[in-house]
Amino acid sequence: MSTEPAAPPGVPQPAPLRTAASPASQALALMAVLVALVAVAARLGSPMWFAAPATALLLGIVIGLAIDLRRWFAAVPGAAAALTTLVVLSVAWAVAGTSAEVATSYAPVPLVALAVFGADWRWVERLRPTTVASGVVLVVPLIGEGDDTALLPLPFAWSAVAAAALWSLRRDDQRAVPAPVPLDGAAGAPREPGAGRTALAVAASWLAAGIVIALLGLVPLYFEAPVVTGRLGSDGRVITPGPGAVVPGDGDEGGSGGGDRGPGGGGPGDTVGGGTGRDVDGDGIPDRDIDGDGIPDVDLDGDGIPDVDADGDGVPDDPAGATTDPGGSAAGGGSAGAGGGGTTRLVDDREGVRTVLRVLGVAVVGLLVAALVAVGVRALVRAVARRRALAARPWAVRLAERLEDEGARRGRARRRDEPVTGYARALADGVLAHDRLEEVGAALSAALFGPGPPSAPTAEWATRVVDEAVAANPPPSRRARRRRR
Amino acid sequence: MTTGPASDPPVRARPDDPDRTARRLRARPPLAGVVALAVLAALLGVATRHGTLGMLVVALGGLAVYDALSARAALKRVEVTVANPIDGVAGEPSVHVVQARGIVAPIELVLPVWWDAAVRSSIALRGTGPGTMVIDAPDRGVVTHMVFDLVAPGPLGLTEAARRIRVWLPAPWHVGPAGRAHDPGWPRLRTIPPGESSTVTQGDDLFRGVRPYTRGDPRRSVHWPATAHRGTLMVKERDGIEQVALRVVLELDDGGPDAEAAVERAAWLVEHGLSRGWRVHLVTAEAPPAPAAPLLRPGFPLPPPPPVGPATHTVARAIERVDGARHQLAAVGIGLPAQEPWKGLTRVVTPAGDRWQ
Repeated sequence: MSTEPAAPPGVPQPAPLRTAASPASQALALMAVLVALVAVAARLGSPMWFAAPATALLLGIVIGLAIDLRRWFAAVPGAAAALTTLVVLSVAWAVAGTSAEVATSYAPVPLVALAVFGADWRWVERLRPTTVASGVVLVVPLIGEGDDTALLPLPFAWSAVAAAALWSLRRDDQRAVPAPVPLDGAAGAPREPGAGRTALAVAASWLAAGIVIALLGLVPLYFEAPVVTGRLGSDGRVITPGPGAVVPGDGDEGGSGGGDRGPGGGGPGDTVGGGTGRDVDGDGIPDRDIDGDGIPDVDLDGDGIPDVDADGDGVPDDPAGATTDPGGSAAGGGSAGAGGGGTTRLVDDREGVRTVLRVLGVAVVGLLVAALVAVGVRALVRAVARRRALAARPWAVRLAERLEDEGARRGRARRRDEPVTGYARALADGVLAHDRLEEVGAALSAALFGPGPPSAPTAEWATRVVDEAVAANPPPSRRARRRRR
Repeated sequence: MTTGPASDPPVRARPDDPDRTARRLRARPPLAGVVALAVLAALLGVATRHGTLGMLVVALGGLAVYDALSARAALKRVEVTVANPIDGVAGEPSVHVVQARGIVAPIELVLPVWWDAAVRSSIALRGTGPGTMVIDAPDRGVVTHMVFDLVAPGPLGLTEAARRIRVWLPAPWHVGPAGRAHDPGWPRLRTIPPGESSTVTQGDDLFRGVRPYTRGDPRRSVHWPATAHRGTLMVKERDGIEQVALRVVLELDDGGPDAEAAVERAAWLVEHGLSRGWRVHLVTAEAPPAPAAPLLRPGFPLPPPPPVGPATHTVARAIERVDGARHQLAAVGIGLPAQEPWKGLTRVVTPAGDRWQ
């Protein structure tokens, strides 16, 4: 049923029913869920909404990985087990609540179910739907009421983490498929020339995709943003609407001394727009209720910007700083209308866009840095592996290559049909003059093609001779080589 | 992964390249979840006018599009070559060398299901170097090409691109039958002299040794000195320089399971004779390889192998190795082979029944 142990190499196999997920995939899937939980906690304003479920889930994962529960979860998925647990514990909690005198908290019930769910965190086929389904947990807080600014980065963060998790899970899937056995006996499949650029290309394509997706993400924001319908205020800022927002008129007519009046005040009975349908301040533009309190938000001071009630006293204030309290000094300082709660909200329409752009900028830079770091780490790992592989080769191979390199640097490259003994002799008589170098060639030939490796002192001696020859015959400078040409 | 019979019409091969179909994009199960999530977010976003949900929808859509485009691009320049063994036995594993060029992302080489199979097998091609893979040989016949599905999953596994290709083998793969053991009711064996001479007729010109008498031994074979020495009847054992000769003639008047059973019986007779050091001749009527069937849609089950075609010529060969017999039997078609005179035993194998001549 499972792919453990792995399929034999070189034999095509049917797709397995279950594939073991790598630790990276498990971690990324967990991160996707955690990002969704962050959204929940941010919306509800309590870190406990993140800490408690995350702890329960993590606990379940640790237990599931520490104890081999595959036999159980092979038959019953973790989601089904969690649902069953939730139902059973809920019933038990209800029964206990009716019989006990002291009310018990319901909170442990879903947490236990979450822990049961986390115990099934081993297989690709389980983690993939979990990753996608965590998006539902993300969606729910996004539709709640309140300030969305803090939640803006979360869809992108979740998308990035979920994409990484899905990518990692797909790699796990791919690893479970047997591959042909390389003919050269190498551990990994041979690579074609230029394939080393694949990592960079993949990183670049991921980065490009992230940027494109991020830019595309601005589109609905612009559709929602009322910049196209709003107007610039006197201070150059854009007055943002919301449902029923005030769109002030061009001039300040009716502004100065207009005074706010309550419902039923003397304004034209405009019915345009989604606001109250009245022009209380008489500026010719129907007043709209930004904050939805049923009171039209008006521009008292006539600066083209609806006044805000920052202090919540029911009196709209001038955003420029001149508060228009009843009896205050502001021009036209009329009192709020009936109800006295005429809160006016002034929002810079582009502020949200700027926030998103800032977040996106950080995200893009982060992606770029992450991609560069990934490529750098990959290159470093490869360089270390290559260095180790080179160092693991027999000394004779290394010394022969060094001899070829030193000879080539001095203008005497080894020909394809030239034996190592002849090449060493040619070097000893020419660019790497040394009276023992010819013997080194013989020792190298014996080491490379002889029945057994030479002794360690021989290897040490040969290396020392080559060192001496190289030191005694420095390579020509670039200028000398150019002059020679 | 299972693939059932599909009702969609098959997709014809590309006009400019009859050996591969166009790339097709297919959804994988996770895409359904992503689409459902995007639809949910879109509906809620429209209902509540939350821009963040729109961003989520766009992000999910972008991921799906990126996945699909990447999967499609991964198949663009992939070329696969397969080097095959010359001979094989039907149903038995056979080692092939596979090599892919133009790989930019791991792809799967999928063996399409046949009509009578429900599970498809696949092998991952991750590099461009040659590697060996083990494939079960198909039914008896001469295989000139193989059909594979190339499947490239997207980076996120949401979609996959697939293409069916026909890979022509560098040399025909003769898939012979496995021998079917049976009792032919052996008659008295006949020998023929080595070489072209026909003057030597007996196979008892070499003295090999003595052994105790057993019922049925001819009286003239009793070795009297040994009998006197041992005190019990001993008989001479002789050997000849002649060889027992067996000719197997395979006559197929029709295809089908009975015909294949006849071919398997013929294969076993040849194997049996060779294992005893007999001289074995195999006479068959050969048919040319079946023409290539049209490529169907990727994932579509392969059509059943074409029936055995009519034979065009007779082949009579002295068989020295079992592989040679399988090689010859792989190409047997429907027809009656011409028979030359033969001094040894002749076994005529037909779907209706076998007989000695």
